[in-house]
Amino acid sequence: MADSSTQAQQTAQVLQEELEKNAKRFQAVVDGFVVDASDPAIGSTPKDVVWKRGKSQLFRYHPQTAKTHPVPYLIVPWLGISRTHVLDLLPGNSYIESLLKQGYDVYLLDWGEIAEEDKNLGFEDAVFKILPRIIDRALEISQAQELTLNGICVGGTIAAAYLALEPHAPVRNFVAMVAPIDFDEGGMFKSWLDERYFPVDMIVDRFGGIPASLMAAGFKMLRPTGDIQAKSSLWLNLDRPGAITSFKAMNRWASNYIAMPGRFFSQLTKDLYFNNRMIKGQFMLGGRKVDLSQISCPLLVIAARQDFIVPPLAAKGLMDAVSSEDKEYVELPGGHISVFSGRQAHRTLWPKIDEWVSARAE
Amino acid sequence: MTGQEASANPFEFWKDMAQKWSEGIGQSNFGGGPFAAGSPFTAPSMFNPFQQFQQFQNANPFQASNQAYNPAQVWMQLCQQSMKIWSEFGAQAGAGGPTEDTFRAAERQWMQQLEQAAEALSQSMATEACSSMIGKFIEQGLAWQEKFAAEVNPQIDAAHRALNLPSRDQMDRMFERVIGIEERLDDLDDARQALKRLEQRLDEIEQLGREVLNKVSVTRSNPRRRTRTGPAEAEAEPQVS
Repeated sequence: MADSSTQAQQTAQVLQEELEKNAKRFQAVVDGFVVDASDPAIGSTPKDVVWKRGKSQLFRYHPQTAKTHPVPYLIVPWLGISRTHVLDLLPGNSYIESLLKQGYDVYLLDWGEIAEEDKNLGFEDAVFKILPRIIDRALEISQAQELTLNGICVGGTIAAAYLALEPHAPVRNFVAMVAPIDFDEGGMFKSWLDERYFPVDMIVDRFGGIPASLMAAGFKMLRPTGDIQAKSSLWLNLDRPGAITSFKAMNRWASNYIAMPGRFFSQLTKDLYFNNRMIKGQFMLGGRKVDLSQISCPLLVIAARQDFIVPPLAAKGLMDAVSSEDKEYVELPGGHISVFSGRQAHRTLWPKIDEWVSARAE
Repeated sequence: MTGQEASANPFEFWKDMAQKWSEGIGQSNFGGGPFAAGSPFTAPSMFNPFQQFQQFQNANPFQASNQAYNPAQVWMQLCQQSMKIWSEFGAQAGAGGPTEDTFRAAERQWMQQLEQAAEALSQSMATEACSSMIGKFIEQGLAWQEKFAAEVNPQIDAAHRALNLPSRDQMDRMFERVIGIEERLDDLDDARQALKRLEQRLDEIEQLGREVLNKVSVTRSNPRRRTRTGPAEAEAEPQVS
């Protein structure tokens, strides 16, 4: 009798503690989402626009150290899909801020808010018109001879195509981060973008590209449980300082999709996802063949272990395709975005990039 | 429920939905507008989602791909698995009364289960059957939209004209021209920059030429220097032909 009474008391105590814990969580949710419903400012690291063409802009971030590396660092992100704010999410959780604190002279290309009028923007514009100009501009401003080119996601695919076509470009190092190259290993998107079923021409004719709403639907479908996982994770981590701010910042970025230009989407789908032409050396741009073996500069390929947008094998394909002697492949924990923007990036990606690039800066 | 029945049920549901939707559109009458009875939009020969749905079923992509796509079964398995896990968990927790660890374990269990559900859904969707379904749905959506646009756009354009507003096509053309002008300006700017760089280069060459001439004139005005410095240093002097 005494045993059952003690057990009942213990049970009541545990239940009370659990209720208190959940009440605190609930209070935190009310405070964070109802009392202060505003979103935190994202992408707030100070920067200047140093070049502009159409909607594309080149940002130069204000240095945060007295001395900067002699080789500037140029980031070429994905074209369309979403904004680049995730690269500079919040103070203390920003890839760009980490580079600045490590003394890099950081430039970021922003492709702008793509809409129907940009339907003719394709790989050619990116490779022949935009990349050469922003590289020239960055070198001119930094008074440098060469720079480090960091392509992220399809920005890495664009950068690889550029380097393959311009092997003597003033690029000291190439960092390809979660960049799809071997599209046969393209995961779920490879499966969905099936030549027999996917009506790419119909979509491009109708919308002039992939509209933001369709882009959002595609990415949400990739991970149907993603939203509930994110919210569950927030609930369990509410006692962590800054959890709500990080969630709101990431949520704000993740719900802001932008369109992809028709020509670019058509090339990405038909040439790359349908036929995997880049890795086969059959991808043609402006009448020239994109031959990845022409890339000979030092190369760092970064893949994310839990990336279901660009699975590691899709990124790793670049390693065998180039002729660079100095090349390294790194597979880090995290997903497509969290690999460079998650909490673990402080310990994994950011130090790795600094170590690799600074060893090749002189 | 067999696998065949399970896969048929969602189709029945979708078919009913499509039929109701189609009937709803057909019955709608916006003041004798495009949806009025007898309008080409509602005529059987024109777009009919139900008819298209039947065509879609007849050309069943799941059969064509020889894969049994069975969304109901996927969900059923997930629910069964979930119920089994939670009932086992409840039995364990109930045996000795809940502790704090019980709740933390439940949280971990929940997260793992979500991950498992995500994995199961991913496997279910990474199939040819799912790809063909997505393709068909997009095609149907676009076909419907196109018919709708063909029917509605002339009326919107008429309204714009009445209000003296530009049509969508006119706006598109204007934006294209603006982009064209912007590109030309950018090209001109690039050309200007290239000329500026060329000018700077020419200035540098001119400066270099001046320096060479100065050295030559110094050498000529001081011929003894050549004899004094000796033949080796004299050879190092710049030669101008």
